[in-house]
Amino acid sequence: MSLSVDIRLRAGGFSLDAAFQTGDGATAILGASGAGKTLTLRSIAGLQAPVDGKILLDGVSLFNSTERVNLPVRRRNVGYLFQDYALFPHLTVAENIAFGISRRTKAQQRESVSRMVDLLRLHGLEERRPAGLSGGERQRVALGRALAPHPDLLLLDEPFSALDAPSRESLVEEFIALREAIDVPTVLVTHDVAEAYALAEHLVIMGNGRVLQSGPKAVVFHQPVSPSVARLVGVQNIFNDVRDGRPVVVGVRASNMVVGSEGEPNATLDQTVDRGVQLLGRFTTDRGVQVVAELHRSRFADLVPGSRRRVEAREGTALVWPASPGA
Amino acid sequence: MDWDALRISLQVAVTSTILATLVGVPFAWWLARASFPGRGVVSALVLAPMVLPPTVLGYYLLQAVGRRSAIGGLLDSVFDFSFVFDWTGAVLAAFVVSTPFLVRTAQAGFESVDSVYEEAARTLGRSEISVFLHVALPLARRSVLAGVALALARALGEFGATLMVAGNLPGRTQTMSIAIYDAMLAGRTSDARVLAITLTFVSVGLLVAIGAGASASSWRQRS
Repeated sequence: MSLSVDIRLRAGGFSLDAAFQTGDGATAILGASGAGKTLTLRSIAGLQAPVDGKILLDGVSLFNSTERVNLPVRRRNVGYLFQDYALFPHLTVAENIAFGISRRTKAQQRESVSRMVDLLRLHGLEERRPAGLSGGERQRVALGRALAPHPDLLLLDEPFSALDAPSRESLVEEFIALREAIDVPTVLVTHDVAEAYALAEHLVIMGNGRVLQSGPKAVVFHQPVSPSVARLVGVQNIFNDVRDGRPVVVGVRASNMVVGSEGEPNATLDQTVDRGVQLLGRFTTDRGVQVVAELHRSRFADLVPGSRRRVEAREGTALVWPASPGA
Repeated sequence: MDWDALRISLQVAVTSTILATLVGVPFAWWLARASFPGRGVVSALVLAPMVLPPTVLGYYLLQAVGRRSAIGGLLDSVFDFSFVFDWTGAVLAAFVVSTPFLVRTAQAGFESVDSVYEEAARTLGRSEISVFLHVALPLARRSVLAGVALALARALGEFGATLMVAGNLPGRTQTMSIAIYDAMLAGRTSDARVLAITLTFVSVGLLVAIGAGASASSWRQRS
């Protein structure tokens, strides 16, 4: 599949100017809240009309301002998973799933519903109403409802943000398995870099209504084109430096910061932050730069604030960008 | 004591309420969801009959559909039909007076339902008519039924505009409300009492029936 988006629109005081293309598989639009991610997704679905630009899905024009094409939502054959799922509260689970396939025969509808119930493990819930479901169950029903009409494109708006952490992690894994069973091109919106990385092959990074970078996830993740992209893909240490006499901005992941017991100490520990799976140390270097480094629990469990250590970036892992004025 | 007035009242109020529902409910949905410049003005205009005295409304209606008006003249010459001194005139008066109550109540109901459900229905391939019938209407059902009940009550009680347009012809245009006034004026106080008590029971009975219908068709809201 190929989705090509190049749109401009205004909503309130916000202006969106987004252009990107996606390849096969899933694409994640990643950005902070207010970056224009959901607005972009809504434009693809046709729930929001851009001022100008074009949206092409597999060569078919969904929207084209110069040719005056604006396909109505119902004709775009796009499945949409809303952030709070928007299950119809007055319908049962089975009726919700069958809502998009009402033109098919009753027998076909029953078959489709039971396939979705199997696939999404909703057995025994068919006659319940959404009010009687857990968050994870609601999400799966909404997914079944979106998938039942065999959409050409599946759009997911923050699919896991309404869930608590434990059900979230298992659902992300379940979702990856599901995507193998149902091969449908997907665009999802998220503010969580781990989620984006786990679910998608392509990343589109957005900030302030603009696309900052897009491409295969490994490229975007390991070679962010700017400090703001780096921050969004989880690079914790970003600071100004001078290299070869030129002012630059340097970025290093906490996991690439090496804290040595040997060597001339150059930094003082301010505090350790225990994240459970991860132990982080916040240091201030002798040059006054604050850095975060991942600490090996076995070696640094007894490290106390005020300890002096040598902290440096692992060879070849530092990202360097030319300093731009005002950055 | 004859019961024509009761029959005419029911006939007028029910016809007017059916028309008000068919026109007013979709219109209320449109008003709740549309965004265009001047939406506030349209919303306010719809409510005008609520603030105008019924006799003033009746006067304007007569000006609009009387035999000497453009519309009235056309209806008279082409169809040999006139609202004036006809039970349909009473329907027209009741419709104009009661529809704003329905629109206002239903519009508030539609506005209180998150429009995301309607968007979801559109992404699932449903047409606007289907979105209205299968999503918007069931979700705003309580307010819509409350609006219908209000419109019916208002239509049953209509007096001023009805008198202006349809007049007071016993057996043809004399509704219960007008018959009560007529009986009092003629000194038939016991007739007036019977009519008043009957109208009270009919009105309350209809509202209870609609209320029962509303709760029977309700579902447990999302907690």
